[in-house]
Amino acid sequence: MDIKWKKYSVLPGFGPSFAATVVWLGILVLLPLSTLVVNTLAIGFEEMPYRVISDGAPTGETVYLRAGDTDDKTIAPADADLSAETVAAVAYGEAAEVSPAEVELQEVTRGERIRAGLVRGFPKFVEKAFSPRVLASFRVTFGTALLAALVNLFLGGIIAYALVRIKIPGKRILDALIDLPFAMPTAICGIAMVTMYAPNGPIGSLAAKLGIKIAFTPLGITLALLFIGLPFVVRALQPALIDLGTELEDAAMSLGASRITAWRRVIVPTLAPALLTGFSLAFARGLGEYGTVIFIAGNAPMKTEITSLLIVTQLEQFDYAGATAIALAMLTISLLLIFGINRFFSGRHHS
Amino acid sequence: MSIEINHISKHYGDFQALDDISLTIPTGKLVAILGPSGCGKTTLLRTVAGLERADETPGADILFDGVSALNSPVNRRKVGFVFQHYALFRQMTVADNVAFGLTVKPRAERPDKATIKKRVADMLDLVQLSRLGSRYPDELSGGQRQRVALARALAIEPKVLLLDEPFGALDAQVRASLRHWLRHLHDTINVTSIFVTHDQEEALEVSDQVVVMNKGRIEQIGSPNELFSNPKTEFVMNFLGEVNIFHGRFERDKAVFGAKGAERDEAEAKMLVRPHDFAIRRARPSEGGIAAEVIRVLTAGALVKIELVDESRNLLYVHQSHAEYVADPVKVQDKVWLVATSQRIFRNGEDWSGDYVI
Repeated sequence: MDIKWKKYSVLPGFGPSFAATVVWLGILVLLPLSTLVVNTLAIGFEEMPYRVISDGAPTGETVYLRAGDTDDKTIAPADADLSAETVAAVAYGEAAEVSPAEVELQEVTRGERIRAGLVRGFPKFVEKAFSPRVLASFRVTFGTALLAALVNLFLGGIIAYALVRIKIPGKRILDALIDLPFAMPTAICGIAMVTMYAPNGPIGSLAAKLGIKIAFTPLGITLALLFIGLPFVVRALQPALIDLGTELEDAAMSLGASRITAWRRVIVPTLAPALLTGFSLAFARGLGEYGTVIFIAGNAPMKTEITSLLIVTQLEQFDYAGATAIALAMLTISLLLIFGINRFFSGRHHS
Repeated sequence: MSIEINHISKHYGDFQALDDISLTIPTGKLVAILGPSGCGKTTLLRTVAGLERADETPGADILFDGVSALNSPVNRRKVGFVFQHYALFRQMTVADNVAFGLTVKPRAERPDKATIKKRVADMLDLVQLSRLGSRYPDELSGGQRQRVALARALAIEPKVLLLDEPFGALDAQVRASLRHWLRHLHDTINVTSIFVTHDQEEALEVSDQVVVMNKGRIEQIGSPNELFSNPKTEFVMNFLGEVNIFHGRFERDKAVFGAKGAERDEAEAKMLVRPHDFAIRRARPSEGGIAAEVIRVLTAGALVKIELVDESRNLLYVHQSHAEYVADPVKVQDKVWLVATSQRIFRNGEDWSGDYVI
């Protein structure tokens, strides 16, 4: 990237607005997210490494103790000279001068402590962030979000097309309805959906007769995400469709293309950036959705438990490091996916 | 390929865009449809292309070489259509744009890749853009884009070429040069062409035949010369160049201008005089004339343009050649007399050749 700092710009206030952008992004986005990393790192530092000392000499052994487990030990600092007469140490929680023979443990240097924390922390992170239960929740979350975003891309495309091209009375009401999932508290959506789709609900009971279970299955989660993601696709596509007009379609068809060919070869590629935006937004929203999903998901571990819920569960058990570990993994995967999708498609598209 | 349009009408709700249009375009001719915006000219063109459906009225038909095309859809009509705003496919290169019509043909009719490539190169040569094949449309100027659009339309070897205000979005200089270029191109390829414009100069310069339209109807069809020198309606004369308009009335089948009093006929009389059909006299002419005062003289340009006001402060325009002007140069505030050397009188908008009194 090549940043050019212009001495003079025709854009009024470019300098201040750029500064504001950096500050806001920093305070609102990067800073909170960085605490995720910091909190996750704490996994490795719950236990501290100590050298085992016997008869005033290190045995070469290292033990890892939690803060509370050192109360009944005599611990010398890392820089203590064990060959001296007496050593300034901590014995039973109190500072004391002891003879080297009494020293049981010796602290390690800060560098060693950090290295040990990171080295021991990594497997713990992997264990917490990629346990079978977490992996199952990833499968549910990414699978349903992807499916819902794809279906929404199709359905939302049709709806946006209809809203732009078709002239019917009451179109504005339909148009306003699209935004409802944006405005409604997600919990209300969730409760409404579970009322409809639960096995005793009006739609759920019909589906049950056909042998289809909607609520408390991944299908139910997908439905909830369809509802939540729809406005993103429609609103991303509408301006592009208005801008598109009918001329390109006319041109393609006058050149001999059938309507389907005209759409496949001309209209869809022209709309690709908007389609991609709508898809990415719906997908991203689907990954993070919590309120709507938890009601209809059933939340059975390994089956219908979404990652956000798993994180909350960890928090309720006061396993903050575990919660942030999962969150960090989720965040990294989402970021890579969305970045990858955008890169892949925009790379193929001439801008 | 000749085009025959028979009794075509088109309504949009209550609005009648086309009112019983009949028109024949002989093979190989370049015909302009001229009219103000909203006169139905673009609708007519789109109906010929199959982009609009005509009203289903008895006798309505569009024939290509005597064969009805009314029920064949746009993608089967084999018409080349050039849009005002180019309608190029912006995610495709210029070459891919030109090749589009060939690559969407059914597999059985589709030429092989080498043939398509050759054809694209030929088309780009024809529109003098052979080196820009790998560019994207948004890297081209307006004039270049419109030539790509033309190459794309011609690549499918259309039976007819339809151009909808093809130069409407371009600036004056590019328009003028593309206009001449289009005429030469048409003389080379000789495909029957209809082009729609609201620019009378463009229509008169480029086409073999001009169809003047107004309010969904055809006002007059003729060669550019015929239309200019022998307009059948007030609208045609007014639309094809500048005019001075004098209002009058009819008295016992006689058009009367300038007189006061007397009984009135229902019909409205109008006399139209082109600015170059006025002679300027210093003294009151014996045959009668219009007393006027010069308020402005413009000598820049091919003609000297003189603005005057008559006694009732109506604006009048007179064009003189520079030679005429130099022989007796008028100045602002000169009081002069205008004599019409040629004029046309219209009764309720229609040409009228009876008696008249000025």
